[in-house]
Amino acid sequence: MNPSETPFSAISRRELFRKAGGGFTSLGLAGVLADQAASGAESPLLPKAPHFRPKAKRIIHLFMNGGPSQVDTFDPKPALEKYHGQKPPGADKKTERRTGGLFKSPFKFKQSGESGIPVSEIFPEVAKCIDDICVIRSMHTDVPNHEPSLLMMNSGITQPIRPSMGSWLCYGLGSENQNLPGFVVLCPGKPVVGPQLWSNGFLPGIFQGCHIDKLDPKRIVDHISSKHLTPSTQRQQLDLINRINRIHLEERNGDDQLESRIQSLEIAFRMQTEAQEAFDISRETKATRELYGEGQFANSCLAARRLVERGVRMVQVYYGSGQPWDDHGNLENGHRSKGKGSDKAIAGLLRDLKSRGLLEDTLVLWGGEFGRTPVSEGSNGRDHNHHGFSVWLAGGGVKGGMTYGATDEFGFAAVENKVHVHDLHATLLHLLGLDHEKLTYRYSGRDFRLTDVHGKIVKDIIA
Amino acid sequence: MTLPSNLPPAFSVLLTGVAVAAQPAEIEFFESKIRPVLVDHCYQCHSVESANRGKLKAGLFLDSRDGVLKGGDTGPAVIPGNAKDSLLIKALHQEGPEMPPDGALPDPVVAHFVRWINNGAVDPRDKPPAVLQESQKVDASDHWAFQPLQRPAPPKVTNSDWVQSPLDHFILHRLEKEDLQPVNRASAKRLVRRLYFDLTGLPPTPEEAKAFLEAAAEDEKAAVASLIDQLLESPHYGERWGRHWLDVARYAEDQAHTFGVQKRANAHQYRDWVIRMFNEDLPFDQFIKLQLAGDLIEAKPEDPFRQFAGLGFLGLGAQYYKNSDKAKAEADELDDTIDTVTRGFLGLTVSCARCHDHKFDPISIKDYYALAGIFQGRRYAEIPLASEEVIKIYRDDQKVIKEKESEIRNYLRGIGKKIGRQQLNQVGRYFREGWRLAFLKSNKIKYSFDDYCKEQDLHPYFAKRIQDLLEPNRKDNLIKRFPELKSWHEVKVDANNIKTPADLKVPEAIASFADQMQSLANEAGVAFTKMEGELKEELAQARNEEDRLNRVMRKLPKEEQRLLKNIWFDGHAPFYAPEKETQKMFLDEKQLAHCRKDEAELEALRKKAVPKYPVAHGIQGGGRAMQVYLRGNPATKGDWVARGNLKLISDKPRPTDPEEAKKLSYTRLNLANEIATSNNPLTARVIVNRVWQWHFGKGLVGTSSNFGVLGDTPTHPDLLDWLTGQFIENDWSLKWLHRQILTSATYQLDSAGDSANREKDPDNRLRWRFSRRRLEIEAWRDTLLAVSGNLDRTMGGPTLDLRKNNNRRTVYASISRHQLDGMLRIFDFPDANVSAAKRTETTVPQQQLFVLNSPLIIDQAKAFAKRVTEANKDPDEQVTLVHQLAFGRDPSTEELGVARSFLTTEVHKDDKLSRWQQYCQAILASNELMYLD
Repeated sequence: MNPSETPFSAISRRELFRKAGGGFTSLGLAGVLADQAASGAESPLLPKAPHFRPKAKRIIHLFMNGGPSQVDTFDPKPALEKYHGQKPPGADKKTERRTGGLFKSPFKFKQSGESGIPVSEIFPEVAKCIDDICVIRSMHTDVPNHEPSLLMMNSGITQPIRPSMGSWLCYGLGSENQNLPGFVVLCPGKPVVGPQLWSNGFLPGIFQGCHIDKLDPKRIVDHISSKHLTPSTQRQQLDLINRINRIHLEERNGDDQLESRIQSLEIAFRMQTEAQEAFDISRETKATRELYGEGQFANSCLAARRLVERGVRMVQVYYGSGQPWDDHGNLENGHRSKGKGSDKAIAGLLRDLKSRGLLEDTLVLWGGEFGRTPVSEGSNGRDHNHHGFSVWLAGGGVKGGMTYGATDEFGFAAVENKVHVHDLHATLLHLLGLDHEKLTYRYSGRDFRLTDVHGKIVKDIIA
Repeated sequence: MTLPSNLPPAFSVLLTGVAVAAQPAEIEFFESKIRPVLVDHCYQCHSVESANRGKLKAGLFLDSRDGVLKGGDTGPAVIPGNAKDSLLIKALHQEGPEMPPDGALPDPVVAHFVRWINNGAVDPRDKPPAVLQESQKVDASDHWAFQPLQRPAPPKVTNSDWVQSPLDHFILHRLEKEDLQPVNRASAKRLVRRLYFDLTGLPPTPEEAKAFLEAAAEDEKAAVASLIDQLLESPHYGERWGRHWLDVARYAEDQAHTFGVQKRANAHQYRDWVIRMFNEDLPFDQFIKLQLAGDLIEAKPEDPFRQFAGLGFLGLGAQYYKNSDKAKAEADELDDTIDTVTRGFLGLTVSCARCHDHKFDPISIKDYYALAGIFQGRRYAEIPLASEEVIKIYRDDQKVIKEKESEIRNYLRGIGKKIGRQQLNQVGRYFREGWRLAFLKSNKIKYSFDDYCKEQDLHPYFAKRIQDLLEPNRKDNLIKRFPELKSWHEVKVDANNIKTPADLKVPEAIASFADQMQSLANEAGVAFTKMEGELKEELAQARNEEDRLNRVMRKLPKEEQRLLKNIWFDGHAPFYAPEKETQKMFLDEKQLAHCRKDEAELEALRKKAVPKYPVAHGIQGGGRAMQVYLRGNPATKGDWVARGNLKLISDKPRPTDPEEAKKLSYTRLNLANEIATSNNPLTARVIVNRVWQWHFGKGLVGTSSNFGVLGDTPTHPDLLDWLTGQFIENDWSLKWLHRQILTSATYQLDSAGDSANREKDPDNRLRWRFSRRRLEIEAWRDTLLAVSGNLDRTMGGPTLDLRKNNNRRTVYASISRHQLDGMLRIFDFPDANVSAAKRTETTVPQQQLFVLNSPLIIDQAKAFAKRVTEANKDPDEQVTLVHQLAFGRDPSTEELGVARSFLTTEVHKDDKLSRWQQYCQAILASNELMYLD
């Protein structure tokens, strides 16, 4: 990265050594330097100061890819009962496919918690956490197709060429653990679009989301473990490399970049054990594991907690491969089973974070790339809907037990206190202590932002 | 007061302009109902105050009467007297732009606005509440990069002994002025390595290094000059330097998005072209022209590869997903072209002018659309890389093959039709049995289909088709084709007691339908035969049996035609036999022999045919004047702009009249000629600076793709101009430029530090030493392969997957915009979605994990160990060879000792690498192998 092109000035290597006692460090100091604050090796992942005091330090994004239906989850619409099968004015908005009349929700809603916010029966456990949750009912996005909307939700643009939010966050804030990637994406298989959803775009490659397919500690990061050497032999080998490099360095009278790489090798060596440990959910107690329930999504949620606990900046947990929430047909069965597949895990995550005191500064975002139509597709499904949908936030400086914004009487389009995806991004960055207009990267001769030229912070939901 | 809503606009304006004072009630209404809403909901983005904050949206001011009437990008916001057609009301009704952005205003408030406008939009606000500040535009007229090239003489220096080439005068002059001392020359050992890596991206072999050192001991200057000549002639030079250019050209083979993307199988043609042109030292101005307009310079060249493959610069550009917003996607594609062309060749960030005039450089939005028009309407195309004769031979061969194929097809179809026709007198029977079969199937009654067909003398093929036709779930289809069978499926039979086909009696109703079908078929068949007779003469001219039958069919009355088509003639009909089935089931001996003969002939033709000529990805056509897209939005079009170059480059007046603007021709070739010329001050400076950057790690201008006002100023402006002037005089020869630079004392400085210099110039901006550099991923990976002895030096051809154990040079790797190879990504390979001026450089643990654990490094370590231990038996000599191969030098005593003690330590029983392999891996992992002095 060209230093003149970045608004953030990480402590320079030279400065670091001056502070650490002057001169160029010998390798003996490597162990001392290994503590997180000084383990830089001029890594762009070093923690950086935010623009202002943050409410949240990290994000877990529970991505319900495929697009869950708002009127069947967090935005009940009694009018659908009344007009079931009909198409009154306002129920004829254009979406991706041909749709029929209004289609009442097959699910019952229950006023939950002290706040009494109605939650669909498919989320009985999440409903019990509703007082920690802020439901935004007035989301909207640009296009009723998966690919552009997934990209919009992840990188603020419908074309696949820009950095994702997680990459922006790592660029802006670095990561609090140098032995782990700063941005981790958990998805068995891949969501539609795939790697572009966690792309670093024009930001340096280190900011790319690290996609974990299977929660196999041995395969979590490329080349994370040696298939050839025992740890003690590898340590001997690393000592040899260090000797060779030190001779080389001494002949050259010191050099920041050479020194950096020596440090970086040490970190890599430690990363092998630490990263594997971080992803190893079998180390959790039985009680904790039961809190999350069973299944891959539950395991991912638990791994997400382990990761944020260790300082990873952003973890994205996709519900599953492909676009599982995309219930064009038989929505009742589909949503019920995905509710079942995620309800306990989500509630478990919220409770676990809370009991560990992590929820205070961990922001949890739940939602899809768009919502679904209140009108039917076929006889019992719903089409994509970009006009209006719901997401929710919990923890990290957000007011719990509230709803924000509203859709029209059928739940088709956001009408009150509308929140575009750009606005959501601006708000998330704000909560993490970043001014979305100042988090810029100069590329191709201009300053790029996650929110492009848009974005309004939703102040009313901030605690 | 009510006004008719169809007042002419002029009258309305007059009314609002003049009659304000006379309408206190309307003013009162405005003040109480309209103004507060505007202030609360609109001023934030539509007022002078917001414009001063840089937050004005859509060019629309709603804080004054004039602003409202003039409107923004999409026209007047309010038409007084006509609320219905006023954009403001449309927006409030959430049609088009949905305003305000955070949600619709309550209906009564919107009703106030409707009333206000219909009553003449009386508005007392003569002036906006703030004064519009002039935008702080930099006057760029005296910006250095836009000035004509100067021809400075090399300045005088004190220490003239140090100087080896004219360019050293410029460097030393500055150093002396700043009181900096250049460090010593690099040793011959370091220099030979530097030159090999710099020019070929590969280390010298021990023999090559030795040869140079011997020559240098005699006469170092001559040895260096001759080594430079030798390396510039090496084909590896093009591989190394072509790759530098491919960064700028954002070379890749695919697209960033996923849906329907096809990898461009011939992308490598462009890569190979770039490599060849560098090796041939094609003058850089011509290199530009071929990439922009090779097809327009010469349409029928002797060497089509040379002429056309460079068009990949344009043809391998970004293509975006067009399902959701096609116009926007196309505009983005144009932007990719403009960005790559202007930053790549001119060092200008013209893309910034896509939505508004450039904020800093003298580039207007009209300039942008003048350039965009040159490419508008272009098609991505595969361009044949062969002479017309070769293409003709190929096409002729293919034509003959196609003819033979169609001959076979027609023959079989004719037979199939004949077979089907023979079944027409069986129609009734097949419908009856078909009913049975469909019933058995849909009630899931087990029986042997084949045995039953045999028993009943049904052809299983036709029986299966009639069964399909009569299946209950295809009821609609049946009725559509045969309306006479409307109630066929209403005939119900109880399936309870049916165990075998024999138990199933065909109901009366079905039998009578079947009879009806038979008699209809009979009638139609007779009509067909009769028509055949009548048309005898015409039919004699039929091309084949199928054509003959078609001609008859066309003449039949509608009803007969429908029946025959649906029962026999068309692809879906039950008695239709396609070619494949005909060949399998319906041929007699003679026909089979005929077929075999034909197919043998076809095979022979295919064998004999010349293979497909190579093609390259390029573009074709394009060139259409455009309207400015206001704020970059294709949906809001502004003035027409004639095609043309940036005003900054060419100040020819552009017609403003739309018709003339549309007519004026300005092609890619015009553009290429105006870019690739010394008449514009940018092009040659930009490439000279890039070459400097690629040699030294940093350009004389740090921002090598941005020479605009926001870019860096040159550290040595006179040197840049002198070198550029000489470069142009030397026919834009890059190899000339390399020689100038490489033979200089500046280039040959050591990389050692110097504390006094470092104090004054820590970043080495003034070049008091050679900056130590990390090798790019390509050079580093190629070095691993070369050192281990695995490198495959084959050049060119289709791209390769790096993960698949390939030992070719990295420049031949497959480059993806969608998912870049993991190794390339972690080692800072640039994102190929946009032109890259420079590689970013990060040092991160993921890179070191690769070094510790990747299969690539383990494989090379094993091969390296084998190579060294087999070449020599003496341990010290083995270690010496390791150092010679990897670092081009002998080991020190200390290094020998380190190696010896490591190699003699016992191995752990669970280790899968020997000590030698571990040692070789450590050497490959070392800093010395990755950093160049």
